[in-house]
Amino acid sequence: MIALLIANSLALASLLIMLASGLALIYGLRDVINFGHGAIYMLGAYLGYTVSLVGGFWLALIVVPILLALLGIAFEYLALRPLQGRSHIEVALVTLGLGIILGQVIIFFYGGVARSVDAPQILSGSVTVLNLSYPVYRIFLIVMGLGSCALLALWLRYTSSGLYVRAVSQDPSVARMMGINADRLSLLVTSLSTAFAGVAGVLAGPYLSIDPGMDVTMIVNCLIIVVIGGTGSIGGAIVAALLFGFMQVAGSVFLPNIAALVPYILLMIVLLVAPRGIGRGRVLN
Amino acid sequence: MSALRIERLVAGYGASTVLHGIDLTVNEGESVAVVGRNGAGKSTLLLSVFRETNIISGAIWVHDSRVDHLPGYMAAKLGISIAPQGRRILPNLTVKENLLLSKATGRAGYWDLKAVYELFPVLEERANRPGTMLSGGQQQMLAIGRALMANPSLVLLDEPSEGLSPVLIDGLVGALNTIRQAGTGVLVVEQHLNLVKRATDRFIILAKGEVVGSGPTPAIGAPENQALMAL
Repeated sequence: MIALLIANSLALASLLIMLASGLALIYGLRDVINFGHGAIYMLGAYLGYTVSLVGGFWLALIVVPILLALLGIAFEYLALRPLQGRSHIEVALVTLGLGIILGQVIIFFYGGVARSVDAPQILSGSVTVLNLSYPVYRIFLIVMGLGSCALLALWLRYTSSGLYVRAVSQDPSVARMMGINADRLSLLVTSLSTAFAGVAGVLAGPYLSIDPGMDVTMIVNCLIIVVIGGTGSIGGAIVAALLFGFMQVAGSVFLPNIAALVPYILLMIVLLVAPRGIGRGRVLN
Repeated sequence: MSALRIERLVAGYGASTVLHGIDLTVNEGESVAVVGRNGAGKSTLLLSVFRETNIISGAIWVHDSRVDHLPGYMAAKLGISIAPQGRRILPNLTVKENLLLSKATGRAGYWDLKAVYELFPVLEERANRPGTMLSGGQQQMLAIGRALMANPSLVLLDEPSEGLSPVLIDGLVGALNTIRQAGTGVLVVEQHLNLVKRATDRFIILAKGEVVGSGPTPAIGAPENQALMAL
């Protein structure tokens, strides 16, 4: 029972980690909460659906993140850079507006009905581990989630660009004076963040339903995670996603009547006890 | 040849103007002190080189490049680095990571981890500790080491003796002289005149955002200069 609970928490957390760490990265570099992130994730899911129909799931897992990385580059050049120097709320509203437009464009092309994607043959069915039968696809999801989380951590910890990203996230002014070009890093981080949203969108296909409301559900969850994790703290976002996944799954098992409230209760408790979140992030302006 | 040239600089923060037409030239390899009372505009002068202030008019040149219209990081890439006031060590980075930040300038030269560790051995001993776990004096060494790692032609130091004991100030003077011997120029904002006398060639006095006096360092104790510093 407990093992199943943990496995299901990890499966949910895997998607959340990919999305929330992308949000945290952009916030760290640009001081912008990208409210359009949910719509980018939804675009990833729908594009994943189309590419899967044409060329299969694996092709979608490669092509969609590349397409969304290109969208991230456009987002950086056309929105984030021109809006540098504007207030947080103005930029946040622009990202919210762009997200709404993108959502409507997706509905225009795909309609309002839910879609589903079948997992590839090799990932369908279940395996039995320690007398516990568990869907192979969810194990794949956990491996992808924890794998991307590990890659992200290794990049941030052991590469010079990762070091510069951490520096800009902590103190943009000192980073600038040390010769760090935040614009160039932001291009890298924004495209990485949207590519991760693409991976999450494609992976969500066989796991959750693809429907026009999936962006709102996910962005709300991710915002809670980023705030719990400490805004701008990527490590905090990863830990918060794991915690959130566990609370969400445990809540639906043990407290089904109030399961929907559990994330908000968690958010309230963290904000009361540690307003900066569990990571060492900056206070959200 | 000048490493830094500032011409008729008017700058401040938001709507308030702090500097009212500053002229200053520091040649390569030179060690210059900026002295004056609190609020005279000394830190504003240093921060303006990196466009951390609102530059209203005037020009700032690093070697042959005009930087007052370029992004702030360009001054560092062109050869100016800074140990800012309050040290501003990044708390989530280790001592070594703080030092490696300045490699972002892409400048090669005498200063690398080995040279900085030779100058400040304690930084090597604590290389893997968080930067802010160091004592005040050690954090100052880290801030200076971080600035040197950029291999600048001129390093700007803002109140490096702030909060240091007399023994540590002696060590700082030794470090500043070693930095000069390595061919790196120094522009130091400092209230501690003993340090200025032992580690710089000449000084300028700032009062209310204007240069009101200057001269070779041995003359800094002259009554007229003392009077100007009290303005």
